[in-house]
Amino acid sequence: MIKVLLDENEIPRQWYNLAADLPTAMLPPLGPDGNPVTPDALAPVFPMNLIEQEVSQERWITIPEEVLEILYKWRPSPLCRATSLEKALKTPARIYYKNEGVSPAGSHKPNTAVPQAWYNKQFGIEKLTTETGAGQWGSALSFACALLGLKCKVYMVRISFEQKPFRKLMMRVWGGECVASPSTLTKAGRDILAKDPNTPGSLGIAISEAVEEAVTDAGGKTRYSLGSVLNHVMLHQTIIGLEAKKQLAKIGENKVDIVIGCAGGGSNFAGIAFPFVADKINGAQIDIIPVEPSSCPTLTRAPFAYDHGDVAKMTPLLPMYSLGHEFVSPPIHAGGLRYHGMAPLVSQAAVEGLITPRAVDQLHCYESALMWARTEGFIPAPETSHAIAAVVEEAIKAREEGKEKVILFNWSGHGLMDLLGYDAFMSGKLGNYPLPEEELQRSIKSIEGLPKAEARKTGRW
Amino acid sequence: MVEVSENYDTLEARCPMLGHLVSFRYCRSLDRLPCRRLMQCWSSQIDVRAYLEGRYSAQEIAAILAPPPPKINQLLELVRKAKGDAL
Repeated sequence: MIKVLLDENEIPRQWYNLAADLPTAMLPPLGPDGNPVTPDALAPVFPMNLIEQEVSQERWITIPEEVLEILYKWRPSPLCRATSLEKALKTPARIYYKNEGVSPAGSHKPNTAVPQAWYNKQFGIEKLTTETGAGQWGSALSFACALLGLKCKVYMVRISFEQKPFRKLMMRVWGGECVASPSTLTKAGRDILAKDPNTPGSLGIAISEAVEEAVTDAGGKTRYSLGSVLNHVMLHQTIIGLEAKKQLAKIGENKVDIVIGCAGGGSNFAGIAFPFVADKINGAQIDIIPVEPSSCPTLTRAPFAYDHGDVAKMTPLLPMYSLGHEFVSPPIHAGGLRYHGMAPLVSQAAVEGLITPRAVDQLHCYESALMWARTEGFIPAPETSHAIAAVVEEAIKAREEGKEKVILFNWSGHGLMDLLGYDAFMSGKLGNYPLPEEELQRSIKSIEGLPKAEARKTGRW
Repeated sequence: MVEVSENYDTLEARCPMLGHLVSFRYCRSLDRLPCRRLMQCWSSQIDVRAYLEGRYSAQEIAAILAPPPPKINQLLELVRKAKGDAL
């Protein structure tokens, strides 16, 4: 058995919301005045039906039929067994992975792009805006908007717009309007262009333009869309883990020992892991491992605290694992894994001990990715290689212990647009950049004077 | 390691945020100040701290090296700014 497929009528019909089951309540994001941020504060950028999901405490949220009808185009995604990798590692472990690279955009991102577009449409929104660099999220959202009849405006950083034609073309094929940023369409863009007409742009400018277009639409028919970090994004991704549970049950794998996902903003990891975190809360013995780069050890080495979002200390405070706002991570080739702070839901699961974060080195990731490509065939995205590195570690451990463990992980996307990173690795141009202890301590000192979040936990795990 | 005195504007590295190669010139001239990821992305090729200390004040270097705020914080700040600009 290599692939386990579900029929369309077996697809999960509800998303799972971990917030309902966390043994301790989530700490709310705080504004500069120390009070919780209200849903109304987000209303200019998100429709209220998505904001309701963002703050929901309901355990199960029904997936609309119209959303499912689009997801069926690639979902349920295959659960595959990595038999060739198992043989190469001579491990008794059975390694399963959800192949999220089969989506039209090539990653897990459409799992939230589609429902976000649908809920916006239900709210009466006619256009979505977003920003993008090389274009992974911009193409996923363009795809979703095309299928739902929404306009999509993607502000693509000018240097990327000029250097990376393929995802730009993907967006256009899907009907998205891809604009080089800075543009003359927004005040933020015009201000920048007035200072430097030849500026190559930046993600910060592109975000400013996308948000400005949504906020200043006099008709109120435009909103902004974000592909990671927030609770409703992770909620939408739980379809990955929910499908996996059904698929494992279908082949008689009733006990999963280890669940692994790479952890950047959190949605990739949350998608595969949160349904199993629920099992763990209810007594199951499962090791659930978010994997992060050793160069940016947000979960593995940093204290849990309220951290200011910026140096000026003016933006709201969010409870999260943090290295402090003076932290600078070393270079790695995995853009999605560079968030300063982890998503609050993932942070709280870590505080409770429900998940066991792990850090891996960049070179180990690429070595594991090459082993994967040369055994299983698919070329993984750099972010996905972090999960694969941890899978290899666990499979070897199982061999050494002589245990037939069941390992499940999220193969979150292909790396066909990231081959230059592989080239750099194979050419010997990459190194490992673990965060030195003195740098960590220096970073931690920057948050010493700030209010500390209470690390509330039951002590059960 | 390239010495500070050398011109390394044409050197290239992969920008993890954009997802493709960029020149050092792009990173050093991103905005009023260089990209906040200058040190993490370029330290393997050049002496970034020496480069910064030769061109910027301690306060500017601290501002350069500060990491980005979380997304939700960025969004709320941008909403406030966009609303203010629209008035």
